[in-house]
Amino acid sequence: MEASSIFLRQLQKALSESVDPRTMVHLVREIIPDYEIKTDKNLPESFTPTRLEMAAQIVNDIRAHNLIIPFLNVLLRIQFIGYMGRKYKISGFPDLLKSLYEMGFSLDGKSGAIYENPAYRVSRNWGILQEGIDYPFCFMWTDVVSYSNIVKNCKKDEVQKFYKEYMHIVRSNVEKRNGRIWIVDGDGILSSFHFSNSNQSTVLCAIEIMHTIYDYNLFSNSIKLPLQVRVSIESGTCEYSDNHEDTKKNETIQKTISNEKIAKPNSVMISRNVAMSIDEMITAALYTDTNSTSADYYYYSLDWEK
Amino acid sequence: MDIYVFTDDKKIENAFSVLQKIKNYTVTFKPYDEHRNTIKNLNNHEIVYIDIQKLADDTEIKKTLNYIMKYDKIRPGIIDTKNKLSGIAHYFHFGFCDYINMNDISQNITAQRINEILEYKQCASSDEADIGAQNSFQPDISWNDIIEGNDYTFFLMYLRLDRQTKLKTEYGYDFIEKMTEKLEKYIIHLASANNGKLWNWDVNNGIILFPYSDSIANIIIASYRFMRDSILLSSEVLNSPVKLDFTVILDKGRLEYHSRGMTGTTISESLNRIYHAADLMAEAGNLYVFDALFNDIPPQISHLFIPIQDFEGHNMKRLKRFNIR
Repeated sequence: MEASSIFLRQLQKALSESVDPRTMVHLVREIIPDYEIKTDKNLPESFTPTRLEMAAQIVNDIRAHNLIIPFLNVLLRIQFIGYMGRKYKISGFPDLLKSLYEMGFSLDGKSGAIYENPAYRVSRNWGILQEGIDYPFCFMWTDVVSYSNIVKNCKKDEVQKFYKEYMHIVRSNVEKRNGRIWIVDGDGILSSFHFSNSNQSTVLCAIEIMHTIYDYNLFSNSIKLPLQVRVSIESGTCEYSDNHEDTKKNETIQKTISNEKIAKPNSVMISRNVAMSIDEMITAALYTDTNSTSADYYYYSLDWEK
Repeated sequence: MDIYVFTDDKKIENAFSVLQKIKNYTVTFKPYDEHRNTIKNLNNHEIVYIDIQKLADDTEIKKTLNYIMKYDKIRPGIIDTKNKLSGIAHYFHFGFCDYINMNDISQNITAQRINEILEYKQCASSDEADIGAQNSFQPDISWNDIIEGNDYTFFLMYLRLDRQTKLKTEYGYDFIEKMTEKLEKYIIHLASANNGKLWNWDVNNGIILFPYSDSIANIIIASYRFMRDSILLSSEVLNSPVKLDFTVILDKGRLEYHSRGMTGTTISESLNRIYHAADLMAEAGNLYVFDALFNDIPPQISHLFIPIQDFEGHNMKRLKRFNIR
């Protein structure tokens, strides 16, 4: 993240005016466990830096570690939830937020966390996730039923158009809910959701994809074969990595992708823990299939009255 | 040919004396005050003259003539012995076919004049009046063309948030109030995206008007999507803890346009019909379409609409229900 100089000065000021020096260090240790403020060896031991000097040193250090946003999340937490039983009022907080918006970040109203504003840019890690750290995610795997049959039976340009439209349906619905597409493997697409109520966002995203595909087949599909998809949804923790191959090794992701083998065409297959964590009105639209080998899952499909 | 003359002036009755003697014509004189009750029962291309001399001002004249304009099964004419009417051409553009002034009265009304009227104005036949007239081609109309107080053919959408009493009991008055506010804003947004306007809104239901045009199929598609996506709307737009059910009824008809808040005096068969259907027939969570719009349902989604029992002499279709678990 490239922080503007104005923002960095605001952050130094906010830190020095809101938190005592000892707490400042403790807060940094929330994200850099062994953190110590470096002192100039030429200065006498009795020399104590001012609050502002300490804040400037801390801001420089967290910037060097590329941890500005995680540190801001810590500040948000001590303001709204508290730290060691006390809530801290962060001085100049509205100005900090304003600068953040200008830098392309937003505050998630539900979780109170800062994330990349998709109107500015859409990056794989939402601009804030750190390599090697575990985060909770909800994953969605989408693949086209009998895609090889479509490739075999349609002209190349028809297939290209069809594929492009399928990608657009998935991408637009995922990014609309602040999700990210992490893996594209032929007709298989892995999307990840991290912010807000990520499980619910994922299920609603899948429902809208099913509805959009239904309309696509009615109004826009120019090939003879219908677009049918299988969707599976799982949630769990995953160590964030910029590397696709490392990402694929994660157990939850592997399970989400392998569900393709048991998922039904034209339906969304949702793991029990995801189904149990979403609003009841959405769960009410799901059904289970006790006869199926995947009886432990919930399903959504658009079924019209006969 | 039946000719009705609504006047309280004996001199005017005398002007029709020649016609009364001709076998093919039946002239009926009635007091001015009876015109509304009589006209609403006419449907056989009758010629109807209305005498406006006793009307006090422009507003009253406009109101009376606009009322008559709504009836496209008759051939209306104006008797204006005191030259009170301005903008005569406007009324001819909207269905009037004769204008009689003092000079005409003094010279008697002739059979030739009546024959000219019959040639000038062809009416929709009575049995196809509702459907046929409304299916006739009408170019796209912008709201800028629509003038307060005039009659137009509109696509009418009735929309109701269902089970409001239950929601109020379970979640409280404040919750319902906030949600219906959000819903109203959403509907205004949805309507304007399709060249429509929320015309009136009363607690949990309202009418959205769309000028009838060739692109009306898009509004039927939008209505079908509105019903199908109600779970997404409930959760993501209205932040409701429960899935909301809506009743939607679609119809087409002519009505006198008044802006929002000034709709109390509007009289329209279609409007009455749509409210009757909402109160007497519509079941919560369903979309209904009146026969006047059957031809406008896009073929791609026509299989999703099934015929149901007639309502007040009109064929009806209902959007299939979905995800009944």
